[in-house]
Amino acid sequence: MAAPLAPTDHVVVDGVALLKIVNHCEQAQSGYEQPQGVMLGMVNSLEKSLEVTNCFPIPPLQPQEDQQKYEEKLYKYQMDMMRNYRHVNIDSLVVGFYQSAYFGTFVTSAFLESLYEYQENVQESIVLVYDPLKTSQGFLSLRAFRLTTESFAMMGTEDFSSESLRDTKMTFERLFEELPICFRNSSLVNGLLCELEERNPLRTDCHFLDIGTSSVLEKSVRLLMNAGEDFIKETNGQINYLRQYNRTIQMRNQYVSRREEENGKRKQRGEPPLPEEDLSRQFKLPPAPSRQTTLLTSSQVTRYSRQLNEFAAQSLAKLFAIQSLQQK
Amino acid sequence: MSKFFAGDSESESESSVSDEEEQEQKPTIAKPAFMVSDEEEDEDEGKREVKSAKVKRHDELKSIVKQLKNQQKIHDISKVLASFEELARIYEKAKKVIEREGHAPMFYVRGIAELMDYIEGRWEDREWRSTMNKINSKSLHTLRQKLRKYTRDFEDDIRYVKENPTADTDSEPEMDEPEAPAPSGAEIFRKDSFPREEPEQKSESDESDSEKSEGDDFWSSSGSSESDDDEGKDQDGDIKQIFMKKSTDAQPKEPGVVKEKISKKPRDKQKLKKDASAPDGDWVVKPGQLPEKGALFPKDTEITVAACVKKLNEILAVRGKKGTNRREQIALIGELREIVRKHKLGPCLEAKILFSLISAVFDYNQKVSSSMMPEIWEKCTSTMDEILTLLEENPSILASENIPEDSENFEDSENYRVRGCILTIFEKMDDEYTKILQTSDAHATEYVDRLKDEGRICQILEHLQRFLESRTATPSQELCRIYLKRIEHTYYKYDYASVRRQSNPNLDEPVVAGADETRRLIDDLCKFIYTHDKTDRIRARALLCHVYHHALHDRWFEARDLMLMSHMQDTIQHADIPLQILYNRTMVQLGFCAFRNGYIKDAHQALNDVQSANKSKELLAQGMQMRNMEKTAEQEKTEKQRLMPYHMHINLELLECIYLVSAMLIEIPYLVSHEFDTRRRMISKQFHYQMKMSDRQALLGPPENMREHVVAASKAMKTGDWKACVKFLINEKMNQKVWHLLPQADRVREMLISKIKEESLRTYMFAFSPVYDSVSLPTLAEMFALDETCVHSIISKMILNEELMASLDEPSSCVVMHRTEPSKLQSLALQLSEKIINITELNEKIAEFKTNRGSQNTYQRQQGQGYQSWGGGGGHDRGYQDRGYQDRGHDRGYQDRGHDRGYQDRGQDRGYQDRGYQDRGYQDRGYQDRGYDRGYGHDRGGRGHDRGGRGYDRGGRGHERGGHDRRAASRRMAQLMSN
Repeated sequence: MAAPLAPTDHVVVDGVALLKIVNHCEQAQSGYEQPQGVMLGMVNSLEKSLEVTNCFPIPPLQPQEDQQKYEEKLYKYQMDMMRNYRHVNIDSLVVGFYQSAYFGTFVTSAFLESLYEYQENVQESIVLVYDPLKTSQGFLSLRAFRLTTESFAMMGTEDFSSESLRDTKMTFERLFEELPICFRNSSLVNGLLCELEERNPLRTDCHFLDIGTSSVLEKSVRLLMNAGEDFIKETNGQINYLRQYNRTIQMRNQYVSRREEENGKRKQRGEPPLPEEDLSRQFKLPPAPSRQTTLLTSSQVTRYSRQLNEFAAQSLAKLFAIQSLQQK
Repeated sequence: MSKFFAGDSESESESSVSDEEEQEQKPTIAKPAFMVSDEEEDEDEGKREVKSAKVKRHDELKSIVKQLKNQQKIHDISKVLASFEELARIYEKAKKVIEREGHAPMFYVRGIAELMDYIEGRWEDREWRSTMNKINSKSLHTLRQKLRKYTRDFEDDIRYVKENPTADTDSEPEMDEPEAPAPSGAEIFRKDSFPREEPEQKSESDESDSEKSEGDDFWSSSGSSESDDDEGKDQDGDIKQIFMKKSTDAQPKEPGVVKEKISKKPRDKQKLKKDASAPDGDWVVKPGQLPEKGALFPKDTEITVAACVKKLNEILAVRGKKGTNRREQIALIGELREIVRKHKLGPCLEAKILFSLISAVFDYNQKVSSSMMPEIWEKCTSTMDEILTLLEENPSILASENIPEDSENFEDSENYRVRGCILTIFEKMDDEYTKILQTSDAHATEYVDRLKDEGRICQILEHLQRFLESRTATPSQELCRIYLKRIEHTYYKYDYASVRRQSNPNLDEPVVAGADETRRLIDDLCKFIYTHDKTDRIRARALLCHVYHHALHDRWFEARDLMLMSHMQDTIQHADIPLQILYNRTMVQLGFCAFRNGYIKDAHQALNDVQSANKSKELLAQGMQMRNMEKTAEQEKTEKQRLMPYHMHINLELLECIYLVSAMLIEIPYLVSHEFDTRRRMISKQFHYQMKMSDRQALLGPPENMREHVVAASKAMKTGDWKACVKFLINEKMNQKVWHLLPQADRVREMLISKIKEESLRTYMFAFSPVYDSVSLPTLAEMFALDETCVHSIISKMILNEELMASLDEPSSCVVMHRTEPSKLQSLALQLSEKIINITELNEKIAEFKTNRGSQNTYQRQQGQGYQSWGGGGGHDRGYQDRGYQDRGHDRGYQDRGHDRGYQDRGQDRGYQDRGYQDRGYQDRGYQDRGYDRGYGHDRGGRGHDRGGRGYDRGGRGHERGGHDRRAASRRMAQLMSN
């Protein structure tokens, strides 16, 4: 699919869609799967924006349900939903999906694939990631991501070998691009909000002053540790591969040099040289491991680190504030 | 054949030797199915049918005998030999027929005798011998030897024949048949019988006949039900029917009936006819004399010891044969005993009969797995009683297994000897009793009824014990056996009386005789066994019972010491399975005892083996696992036989509860203190499993069963909430389910509460010490409702063990935290840093691959460098940690490499030494060093090492060393790095 002339550079989320997302994610918290949903909207090429105007949730896979059946059901459900929306004159263009994730733990290969699928249909598709935990602390956390063109292309070829990574200059940082989000409400809603604010002024919730930082930090560190474990696993795989690779290469080299020697002798004796052989068949190189996981893990770790950084900065600020308060 | 002659020689000694008797020798053992008095009828009536077979055999024999004679005449020894062999072969064939006659045919014996004479004559004739050819001389030689061997069986006959050389060979058959009916042992008795016994004899003789026919009748007419001897009731009916037939008007009918049914046994039928009609005239029914039972002796028979023995042997001869009516056999033996008693034939004979009777009773059940019926059991015990009394009253009777049957002596009143071992019989009876209990439903009243017999058994047992003790001749091994039985019947019974007496000595309860303190009893018996037993098995069993008994009565130290001294733990896996079961039971009881006495760790250790694999039911032989399908039926059967009777069961719920509670008390503080230790080990798998199961539950309701209670209590304890913990463990439900099962439950509950408080305090300190700068001891004491001194001691112990980084500030009685322990976050960060080190190391490795692709040498070198550089990194890291936690005296950062464990040991050691904590307790620990560690730890699965390594057996020397090694290693590593 050809790249659009003017790629969108920001996301506009409608109030309705936002509230629906938040509502769904908060309600459907279960231990197993993160709640997900489909977003509907339109591409506004004039303003170079992607507008998300509505959404609907996807029913989670029941533990005992058959995967294939579930997918069929899901497809039918989506079609129905979209038809219904069209009937009431709501945008029925699928512009991506949303999901909730604690601490930004969303970078998985499944995530990558589904995002790719959405983007295959509509190039501008994005994913909205909602963090219920942060929201409960007083910060609405909603972020929009999209595959970069490079990663999109790479997903298309499904080639995640070291070489292709090197050639495309692909790094974990360029796996996704984040888009700025702005919220938009109709004037009517804005008016209502203003009125509501007047009628009962906002309770000043002090969640954001919470300095019980250790649990968040602990959680983050734990997640980092898990990621570290993944790294170790991946690296070990890589090392194994390299070892095998080296061994094969070495054996091939030895073989070749022996052949050459033999050929030289034959030449001296005036005999015809030995016929060429298919070396690649004789010395099969081990298949190179995919670097996708490493990429993802790196990306995830970056995300964690950034988050931690952010959090630490905030916490430090808070602590300083409290310290000065205490001294008084 | 030897039996046959043995029997004969006895009768010979009593009556004069005559032709008749000679011919009428009755096989006693070998020919059980027929009775003496049947013989004549048999012969008379059965002639027509038998003749063909018999005559045929006789003719064969005769022809060969004739041939033999001819060959002898021409001195063809080799042919003689061949003929002789042929003769022997045919005789063997004809044996059946001959046995029925009861003796070898005259002509045959004569032939043999002549042959013998001839051979001996030839043998003597040296001149002739030297002239004959080689084959012949060889044949002569073999023949002579064979003949000698062969004739040993016929000595009497041959002697007789030699004495009566006039008897004509040809007349033999004639003589055989018509004369046969008249004389028999019984006949002879009849002639000389005393007049006063006449009436009895008469009836008996009649009955004897009818008895016989009964037997046959039953045997054949009840063909359909014949094999189902086990169906007691049916059989009852059957027998009754037959009896009735006999004694009333059934007689005329009977032959007809029999005729219809019997086709194959014409002889029997004939005989039956005769039986039925013959005794008609003399039939006298004597009330109270078991009229329907067959009389054993024909009338006019003289009842002598020998006759009785013979009779007894006859009765017993059918034992074990198919179709034997075992009930009847028992009745017959009983009858015989009555007779013996009436005729005052001596107690020894009676003993002999009783022995037979009881073995017949044991035989009653053919299947090994099925148990005795109550009435048979009743018979068994009463017989046992009788034997015992009899033997006791007649000290001159020597009953032993070692007396062969031929050297039994029933007549010499000074020196009675009888074969049979009362001890063995008792053991058998005890087994039967166990079987009865095993097969009856433990939850029905039936079981209680059966269990009432336990008292009876014990009575007999005590009686037997007294008896054996009074006999000086009893070998000590037998005493050991009876003592073991006594112990086995005592060890599992809780001695309420003596416990009550102990608890309030001033209570003047009348001491019931026999309810003597079982402790002393067991002690004495066991000591005897320890000194006198020569088989290890009895000693091992006695010892385990001893330990069990100690443990049951809360004598923890005695029980434990005894257990450790036995070193049973090392060898038990090689022992036989019943012993292993007993061992398991003992260990469980020992664990209970430890728990009741507050030795939680010991309790946990003792119970761990049984409980850990979730197979306690099987290990204690209290039931079988249903799910195990790979067992064969055979295995299942043997396993079933090993099951403990219900009244000896150990409550499995109690077992599990005690185990889990012990595990909780140990595991929870450990769990909390090592929360971030990645190499944390599980102390109790089972406990962890339960915890995990509960965590997995989506919805946690209030606890229902025992396990849930324990889990809930554990969770409460994790936060140091001792009140909730106690509430979960000790409440109405748990009392009902578990605690009431323990004797002195109140004491146990108190102990448990105090333990919970202590461990909760420890847990609390582990969990929440980072929150505090200092805690005052009185506050802690108040929080946990403990004495201040107690809190002080617990906190001190924790400090000394370096579990708690704090110090005590005496003036303000506060615990001041040092805050040197890394916080949760810090320890996590440390772990993370370690992970990252790991990653960088691996990364460098990859880099080396990339840079040195293809050249192996450089690769290796580079790899070495890589390691070094990593090591440098590690060292650096370490330095930081050392600086950070220097006051802890060891590098925390490496704790997950495991060497921190050795350190812990040292700490604990020091703790004990410094504080001199619990003098007694400490000594015990010392003891543990030597035996315990090796002991409990060394369990079957080899899991012992694991546990030993956990620093549980404090101060285990082996492990100390391990710790040192590890520490030394780490020091060396540190040096390397700093270089």
